[in-house]
Amino acid sequence: MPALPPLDLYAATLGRYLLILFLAASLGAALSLLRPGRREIVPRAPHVIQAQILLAIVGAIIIVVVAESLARAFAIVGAAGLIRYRARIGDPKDAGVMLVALALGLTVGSGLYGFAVIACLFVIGVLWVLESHEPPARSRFELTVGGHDTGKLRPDIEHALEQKGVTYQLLGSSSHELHYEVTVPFTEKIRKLTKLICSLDDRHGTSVEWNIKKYKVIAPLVLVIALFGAAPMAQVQPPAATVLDTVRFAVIGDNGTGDRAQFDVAAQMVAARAQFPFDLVLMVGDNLFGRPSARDFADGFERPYKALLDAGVRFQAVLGNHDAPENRLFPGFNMGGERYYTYTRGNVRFIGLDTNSLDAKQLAWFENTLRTSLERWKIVYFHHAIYSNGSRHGSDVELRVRLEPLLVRYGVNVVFSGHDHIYERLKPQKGITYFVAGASGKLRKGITASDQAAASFDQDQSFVLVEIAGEQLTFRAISRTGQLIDSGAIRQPGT
Amino acid sequence: MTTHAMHLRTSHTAPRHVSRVRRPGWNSIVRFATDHCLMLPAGAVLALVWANVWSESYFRMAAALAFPVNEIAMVLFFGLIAQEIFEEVMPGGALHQWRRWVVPIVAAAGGVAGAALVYGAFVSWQLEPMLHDGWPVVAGIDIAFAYFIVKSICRRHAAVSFLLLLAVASNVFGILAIAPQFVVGDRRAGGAAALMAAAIGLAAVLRRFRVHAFWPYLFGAGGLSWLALYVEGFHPGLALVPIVPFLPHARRRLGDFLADTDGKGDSPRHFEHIWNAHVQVSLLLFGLVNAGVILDGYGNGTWATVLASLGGRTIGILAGVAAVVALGLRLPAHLRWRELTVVALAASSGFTFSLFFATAIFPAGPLLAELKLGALLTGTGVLVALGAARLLHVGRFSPQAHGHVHVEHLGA
Repeated sequence: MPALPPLDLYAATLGRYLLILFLAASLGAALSLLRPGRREIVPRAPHVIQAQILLAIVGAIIIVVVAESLARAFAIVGAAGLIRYRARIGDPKDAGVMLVALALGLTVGSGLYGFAVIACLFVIGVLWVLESHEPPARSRFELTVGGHDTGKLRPDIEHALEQKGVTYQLLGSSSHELHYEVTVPFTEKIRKLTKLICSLDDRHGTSVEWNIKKYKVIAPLVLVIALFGAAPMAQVQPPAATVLDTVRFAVIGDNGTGDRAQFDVAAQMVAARAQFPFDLVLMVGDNLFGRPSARDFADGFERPYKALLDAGVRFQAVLGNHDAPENRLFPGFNMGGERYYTYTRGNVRFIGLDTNSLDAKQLAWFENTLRTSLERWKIVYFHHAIYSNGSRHGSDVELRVRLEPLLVRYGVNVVFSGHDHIYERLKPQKGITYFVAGASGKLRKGITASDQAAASFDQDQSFVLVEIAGEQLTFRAISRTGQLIDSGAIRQPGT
Repeated sequence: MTTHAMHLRTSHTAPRHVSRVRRPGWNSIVRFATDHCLMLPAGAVLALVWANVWSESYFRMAAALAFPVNEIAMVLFFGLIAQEIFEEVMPGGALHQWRRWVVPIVAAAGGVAGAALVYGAFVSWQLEPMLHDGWPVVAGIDIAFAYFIVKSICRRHAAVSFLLLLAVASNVFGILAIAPQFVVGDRRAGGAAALMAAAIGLAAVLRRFRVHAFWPYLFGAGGLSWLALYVEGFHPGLALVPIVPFLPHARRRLGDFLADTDGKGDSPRHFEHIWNAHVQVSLLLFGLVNAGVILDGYGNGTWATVLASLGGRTIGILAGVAAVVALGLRLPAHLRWRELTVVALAASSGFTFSLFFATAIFPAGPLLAELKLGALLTGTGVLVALGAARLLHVGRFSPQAHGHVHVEHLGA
């Protein structure tokens, strides 16, 4: 029987291990907790901090266990493979910090205390520098302002929001309510903003309601650390549709001529709105032909659609090949100065693209927007049709090759385009219904016969009305003379 | 100039006094295509057929290969062009004395201005403001196309070297014009300048230590330069342009422009000698990836490019020459207005360079397709030049042509 080591040797070893674990945990905690002190950034959830500390300890333990083994090197490699991320992390840097924490633990476990401390301080320093240049984070809210005459208050409210660095997008308005989607800097307090908005109304009859827009992928934040196996992926269910989330809108395209036909179509839109109260119009490009002057904006947009604009209808434009790039700055087009953008209405995600210049940056943005979108309906609109039987332009196959995989992969339901000056609805292509609505001002007769076409019309100018309620989208295409030229319904797949 | 030199030097790889052994089949076709710079047109024809017969598969291929071909493979092509230009500026080169290049450069400037004016006026008239940014496309002159047509018409005439200088200058103007418009990658300030400084510094150190192998220049300094341009958002296809001046060059003798060396002890020659075939393959791929357009995808960008190249540039070149002549400078010997007219028309073919400029300015989409189709159609400029030569009795079409050949003069 071998002689037992003396008791003091046990104590020394135990003390060394305790030192290792304490130091690993301390360094992991330092890494997690010291950083937020620098400035206002996205606060880490407690379980992320805990995970980082634990990872440092795990690393230390692994090294202590395998220290005398030839497999130490393999164990280190294996340890790096133990982490399985099963959900998004609010701040992507945290993924890197996780690994740094693990590395610190491994370092301490190896007995390289000095190096561990130096490495930790170095990483903290690097992160300090990086986060000094990080723009402040923002929160997204739906803001509802109620009052006696919110129409009069609207300019003051929007000015106040701008002064506080709040970006906003008007989702809807009526005489007694304004509904915005806003992003608020973390440095701004909601209570102060509420007070500010209320103070704008002398009669003190203003109500302000904030609803935070929850990113359901992010919450709950789940980090699964799996040892020798993967945990089942968290299933994220789309939110259930509510009965009230009805969205109505119209679609026009290639309309910016300023001629008689455009006025006629606009008049039909006003007439249709009496029966079908839409408050949103999608403009799929060629909104004004040429490099326009202020007068052209008036002739080609403000005068034809005056009745709709006065009624608070919001126009959302994308650029066509005949639009000037600077048209994105025109306030009436609500593009926020961007070539491509997104917004939501109820349970519908709208995405407007610029197909004149579909660069890699825009494609990456588009994919990211689709990936993070949880709305039940996804509507995409752009100028150049990727499916069309118009005899002048037809389908743009090059764009189709780039866009269609994303549209299909992320479950886009409907796509609206223009460019060909006709109306056409195509049979669902890989599950997506495509509309060509490019005859709201210009008209060019000529449609090539195709099995893909479900309905088409090139005898007169036209526009489209759409209603989305729950799991069903209904549409009507109406001509310049008020004739119903197409109608139907699209249901969510699987319903 | 590059394609000129490439062609001539490749021809020299087999001694001329040795009777050519006819190689059967594929090899001889490939040899003929590389010798006559036909790889790019071959790629373009293949692309056009493919794009119009199996559109989706073509555009999938083009999307997948666009980056490695346009941003990586074309580095060598522009490296060779930069080398040619640099050598011509060196003592003994055709551009070394300003009197030799001032007339063609002013002509090139006039051509670019004339083409840009016509292009801009046409797209404005057609209410296509989105196309305005594409004007540098009409600055491109396909050196190979223009060279072969002028060479076949004028043979060894001052018009040939005049055309080459004009084409190089015009393309340099085009590159300068598109530099601020490049859309490759995102602009990320900082870091890029340091990377470029490191690239140039490394090239200078290599030169200082008389490193003659071009590999360290290509992969070391060239790699850093590529990264710097990419990070900053400029087109990385130009990565070798700032590195080429540091390659140790042997002093050129007048006349080397048309001669060949084996490249020993001369990095650029060695570089060109080894990479010429690869460049030809790059050009084939470039044509294949970029020239595929649906033939009914024409639009105002197409017509603007054709009109500007054939009309605007021709008039601009002639106006530029007229301006310098009015200022007292003389035209090169034996170069009269009728030869100049043919040269100006031959320079209307944009093809390779117009395609490159178009892909650098616009991402894939309908605007790019319109311009690419226009760039391909400018290839018809060589036919117009042939017709003009016949009408004006220039070169081989002149009554004195039989048995009489002008001696080439490099410049004035």
